Amino acid sequence: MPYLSGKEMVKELRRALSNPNIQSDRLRYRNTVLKVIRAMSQGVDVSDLFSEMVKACATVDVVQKKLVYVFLCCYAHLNPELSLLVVNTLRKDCLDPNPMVRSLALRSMTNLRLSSLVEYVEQPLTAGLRDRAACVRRVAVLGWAKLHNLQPGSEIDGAVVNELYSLLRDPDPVVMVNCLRALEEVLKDEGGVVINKPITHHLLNRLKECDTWGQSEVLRVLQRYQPQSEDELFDILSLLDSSLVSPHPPVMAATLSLFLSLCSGLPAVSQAALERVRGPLLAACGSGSREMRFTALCHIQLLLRSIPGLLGEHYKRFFCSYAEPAYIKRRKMQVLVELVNDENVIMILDELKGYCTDVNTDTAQAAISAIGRIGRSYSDKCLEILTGLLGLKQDQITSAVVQTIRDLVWACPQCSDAVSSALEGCEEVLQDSQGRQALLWLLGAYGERISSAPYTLEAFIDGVRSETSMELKMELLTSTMRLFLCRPAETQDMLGRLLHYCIEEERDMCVRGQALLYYRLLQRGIGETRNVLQVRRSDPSIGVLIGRQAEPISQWVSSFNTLEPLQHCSVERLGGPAGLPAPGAEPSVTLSLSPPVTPEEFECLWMQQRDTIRCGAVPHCSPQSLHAAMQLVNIQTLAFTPSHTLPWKVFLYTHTLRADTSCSTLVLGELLYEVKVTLWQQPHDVSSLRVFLSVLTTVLHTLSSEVTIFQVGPELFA
Amino acid sequence: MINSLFLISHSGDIFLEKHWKSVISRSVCDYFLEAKEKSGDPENVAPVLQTPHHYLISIYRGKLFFLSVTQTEVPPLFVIEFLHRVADTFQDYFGDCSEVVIKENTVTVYELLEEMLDNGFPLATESNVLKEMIRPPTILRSVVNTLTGGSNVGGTLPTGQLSNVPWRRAGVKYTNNEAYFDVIEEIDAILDKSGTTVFAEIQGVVEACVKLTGMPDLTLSFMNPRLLDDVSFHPCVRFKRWESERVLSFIPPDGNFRLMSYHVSSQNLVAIPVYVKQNISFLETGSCGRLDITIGPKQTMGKTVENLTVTIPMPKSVLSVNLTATQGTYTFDLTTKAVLWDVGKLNPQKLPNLRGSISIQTGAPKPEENPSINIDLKIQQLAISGLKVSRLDMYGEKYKPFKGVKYVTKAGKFQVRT
Repeated sequence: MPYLSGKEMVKELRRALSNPNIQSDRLRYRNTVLKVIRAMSQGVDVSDLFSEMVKACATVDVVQKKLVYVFLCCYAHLNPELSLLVVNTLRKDCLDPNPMVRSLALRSMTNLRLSSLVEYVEQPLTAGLRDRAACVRRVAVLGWAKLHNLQPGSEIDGAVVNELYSLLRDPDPVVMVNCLRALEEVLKDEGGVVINKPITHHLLNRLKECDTWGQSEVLRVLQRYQPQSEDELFDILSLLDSSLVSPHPPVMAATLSLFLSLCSGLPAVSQAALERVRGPLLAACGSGSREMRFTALCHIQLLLRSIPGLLGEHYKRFFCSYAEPAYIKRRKMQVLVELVNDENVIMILDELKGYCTDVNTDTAQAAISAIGRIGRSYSDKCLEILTGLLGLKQDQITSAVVQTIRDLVWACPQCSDAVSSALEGCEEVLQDSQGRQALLWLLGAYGERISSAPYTLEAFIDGVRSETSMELKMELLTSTMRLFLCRPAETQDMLGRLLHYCIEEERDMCVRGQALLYYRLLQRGIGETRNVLQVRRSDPSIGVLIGRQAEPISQWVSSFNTLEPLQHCSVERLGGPAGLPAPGAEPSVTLSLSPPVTPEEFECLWMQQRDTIRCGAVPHCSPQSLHAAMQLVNIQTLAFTPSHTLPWKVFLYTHTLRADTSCSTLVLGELLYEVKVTLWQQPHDVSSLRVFLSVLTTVLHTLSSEVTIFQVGPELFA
Repeated sequence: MINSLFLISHSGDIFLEKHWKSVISRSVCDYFLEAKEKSGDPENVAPVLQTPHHYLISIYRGKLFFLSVTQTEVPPLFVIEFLHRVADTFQDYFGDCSEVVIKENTVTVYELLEEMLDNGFPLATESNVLKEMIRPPTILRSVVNTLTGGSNVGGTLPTGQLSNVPWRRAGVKYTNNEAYFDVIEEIDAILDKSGTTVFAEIQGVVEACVKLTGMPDLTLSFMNPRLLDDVSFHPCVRFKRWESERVLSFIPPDGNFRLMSYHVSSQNLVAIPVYVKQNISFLETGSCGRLDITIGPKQTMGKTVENLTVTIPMPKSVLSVNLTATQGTYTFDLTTKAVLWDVGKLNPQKLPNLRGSISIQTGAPKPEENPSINIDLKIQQLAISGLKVSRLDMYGEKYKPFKGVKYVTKAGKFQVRT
């Protein structure tokens, strides 16, 4: 074909389509239509040919019909009036003796997606449900779902629903599965298709006939069924047993999901099921497709939450190979951390050590923090590796190591001695502000053991003018103050200089405020200062969290075989300083800090109205640690009253985001020392508020293990 | 379930889209392209992304992204498996799954996608069924089509869609009845500096080419089926019989298909066919390093190792290499900094060796990490796991078919650390 521009091509094609000579020659006519389709798929706008193509539809040639239908479905929404003409031809085709033509016509008719045509489509669809050929019934059944999507608010025809229910008993398995799919969509508002005992048993008995797609679909729908007796439950389980070890990962995952939801009351059975799927899951982890491997890894992480020992001996399966993408490597390392036990710890650490110098910095950082995580249980070996890495003098590696060491020391204070000797000389290598902040924190917390601490801090203080990061300056202030408390003679002079600079010249209000606070604190005497700045070197609650208790399966079963495990953990950090429960502890609601709320907005909203909830005690702890702890769970503290005033108050805010409805609410709160929590929420949503409160109470719990916090009763939400 | 599919080239060009429900604007791909931009390497894009109104699930195959858009929560394994099935189908139809090929065959691609999904649900995904509805383009057929004006759209309803055995059409006829099975195994292994195995696994497949008349019922049995850890079968295999008797009993599809794939993992001892003696070192002072590699046969069960190639990705600071090979030729790619040594056949009497010096950019620090050595090889007539087919029986038909089995071992991800 000669090269023609779009317009000329359309003109040429129109001439050809309306040429009676071509129209009378079947082959040439069909070829011209094929040319139109080809032009369409190359992005040429051929919508002008609509009326010619409608005429081309009236032919006995199946192939040509098929091509024309492709065209019509694409452009129907541009020409609703002309599409009316098509419907007539299509309706005639629905009576064709060839079942392929019938199904094709029905499918195209429903794919036109024009609500004006609904009345013409209904009759052939009803007829299609009773067609002799299975392939027509398959299309007709789904056609009703499409029709319903066109007019979502409309009344549902009871007769059609009944007919669809009766077609669940169709001899063709695809028709059966399509019926389920259609009913799910049509009855969405009523909670989907009703699954009762006869339907369940019918579906289960015919499970084997379906293809793998159909099987996973059926298994998913069956999750809604609650068996009435224990005998029935075990009947169902034994029917499902063989698909539990199905070689097709989607079927296996769907079966396991159903299995676990059925046996929620029988932990022993669920445990056995998990052990049975170990083989297929591991196979999926070694699958040729990297996306499949990734998904399997994410699901394995879920299983490990309940049975940590499930895969202990298979740890080698999770060693990374050179060419794997970074997202898989990161997951594999997270799994490896979970699998560590006394026998394999040396092998795993050796392996992780190899990844620390990976070219991809994300992978290297993940490996380093994985070693840090293992260090909570095997600190000596890990510290040896980490200090060895410091010797490489590479800025990114050093930064990651210093941050990891900070987190490690926070969790196990007993390794601080080894750390203090390793830190010398790091400051020259560190470039990024995160790493330097971690170093400053360590210097502040363990200053009395690091002989060079004052000199290192002095270098930082000398360079403070050219410093841009606000967080770093804050950290520097705190660290210098802490060091001053334990080594006053060496630090006094530089602290003076730092405070002077921060109060007189600093532009950033946060830094200036912090400096003023410290200045006034010092004026009140050293005893008071010591009280406030008392170094919290570790978090006592983490000791419990290290050997993480096996969670009950019900915690994660609802998110098994959904997209949730694939995304949530991707943002979850590998253990911050405080191992508080991840923000998404409650499956469907997450907290987030964006968009930020300014103090003015906060005040404005706060004045409107609020509910008061007595939450029992709010612990009195240092604002920094409260701030840090809250930030970990995505709650922002906006303001504190000075720590010695009573009543002591904290203002905070967060956003809740529900994964299922993706609606978000803003929560503002006031913590009143040992009295109450006042909350304000917009828009009102009880369940997300409850999640917020549970996260909040967990944080407060962790901060003050000695103070009891009362459970919030539901009547408070009324 | 699956609302739309976008095909995106690795440079970020959206060149094909298909919608099964309402049309979703292309702009939804921006989230994906942004993530791709951020991750640098196209391989590193996470397979699942969440946008405010949609989920984007993608796979990366043949330098192409298959990006599906869903509006509701879906089982991820399901969608990923389906996308791979789409890619497999293209591969099957066009012999290759690349941007050029798909652009050339857009009409067929649209037809295929139309048949594979209806209203977002999988409809016909079996390649045999599809091939009867839409005939794959061949050079001969496209010549004939241009002469006669035929097209590659099937005019009849596929019989498979109505038969009880969906993967096989009825009424197959051949003059020569033959059934061939290829056992292909790939070794994935990581060896450490001293040559000990860190990790080794065999991934095997049995590819079949069956051209038999009628409805034959085949039974394939192995000498040592217990070797296999995780197996995954073509849907035609009767799983019950495999579980009870460890034989493969099936009514085969017509033509080429993958009968099964399996793993033999570290639990069983995996034989490593070659050993590598290597020494790569960079000197602390001066800008040079040394390299010395020798390869020898280890556990090859008396078979020759062929097509042996060695790839060494050098650190970025390496300028050039000056090596001598006792066998084969070597090349150094200046852009990727990779040394490629094509050894050829491995002669156990005279072991191939590659040695020489490496020069590094002056002033650059000594490279942190030593490069790893990737090895590719092939051994004919050997399945390294020791798997052997013992017999193939046919029931249900009268004639005597011609049968054959071939074994090949290849290196998959075979890597030696230094």
